[in-house]
Amino acid sequence: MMEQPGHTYSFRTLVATYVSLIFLAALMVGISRIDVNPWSACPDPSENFLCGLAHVFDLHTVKTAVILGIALVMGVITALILMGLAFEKKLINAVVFLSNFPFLAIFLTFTWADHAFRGETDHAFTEQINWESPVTKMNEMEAAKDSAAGGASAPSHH
Amino acid sequence: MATSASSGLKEHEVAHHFDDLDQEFESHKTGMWLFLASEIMMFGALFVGLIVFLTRWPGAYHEGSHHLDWRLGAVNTFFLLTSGLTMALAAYHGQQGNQSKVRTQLILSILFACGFLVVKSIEYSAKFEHGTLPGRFWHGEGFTDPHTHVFFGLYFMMTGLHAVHVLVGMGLMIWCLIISTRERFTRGWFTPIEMAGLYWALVDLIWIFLFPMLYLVGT
Repeated sequence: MMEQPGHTYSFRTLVATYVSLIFLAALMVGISRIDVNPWSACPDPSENFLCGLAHVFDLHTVKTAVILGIALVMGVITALILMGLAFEKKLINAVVFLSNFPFLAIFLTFTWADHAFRGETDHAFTEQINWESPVTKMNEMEAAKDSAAGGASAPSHH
Repeated sequence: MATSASSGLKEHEVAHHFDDLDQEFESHKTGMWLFLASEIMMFGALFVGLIVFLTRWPGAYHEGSHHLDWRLGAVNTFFLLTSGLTMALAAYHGQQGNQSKVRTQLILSILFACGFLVVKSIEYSAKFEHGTLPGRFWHGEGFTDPHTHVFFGLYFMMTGLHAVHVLVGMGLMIWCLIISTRERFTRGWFTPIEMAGLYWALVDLIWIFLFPMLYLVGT
């Protein structure tokens, strides 16, 4: 038989990967549908675990963290099995993993720098931007339309 | 010129600047990974933008996210994950040199990708109807937070760019389908399916993060 380059796919591994990804996606959706407000508002922290947790953390933030944690697990499974990183050399995986951090640092630094100093270094640039929100503009137009319609339909006393 | 060994299937001729099939395959894979890294950086920057927006204006993020239909997002997740499986199975059958099964799996992958785009177009048409469009095109009604339009700007930018990648992926699948129709895949040479599979896995990977970030986190 001809020698194959790369790793050999296993049918069972692929199907198991798919089933686990579907299960995790369903779990992610299920968790997102949980209404955490009743626990966030419960007065007695000793009532149950979630009530106790709500007194320490914001449950909406916990829910977001859990959802993104599941997404991360799904991403890792995809990268390891479907993209074949699990079958690569350790050095390649280490390079892929470690190269994430400098780029993340670059993205965060530039975003923060833009956000923190926007308009402070170049005032002319700030003046060029129309800061008016289209949402506010639309709401104002709607309010003006409503008041005009209300005024027109109001009964006349004359 | 070195050639791959024969096993009853058509031979693949290794390009003259490679020593053997394995070196050729590894070179293609390295090139593909470099391209995927550039893709990850591009989407990574957009994800950072989305996270900054979530932390800076959570009210606007939640208001925007509430206007997205998580059911349609879930259906699209199913379509993409299933097409990820069928694409990997195409590579699996490519390794076995089974051309007809490769074609079946590629056609299934293309159909699931089409399903994804159909659902996406349904979602987009609803956004056009409600006027929740980016920037000066905005004419949505009933929104309270003045920054909500930024959420939809990010939504269209990220899902639109992802949809372009889905289209490119479909093009790659059609290309693999043509190669398979010419019976050119062998047990030793299935590089195009392997590379298209890598690209499609990245498209899956991006959606795995887009779906919860846009549809689930703000609900």
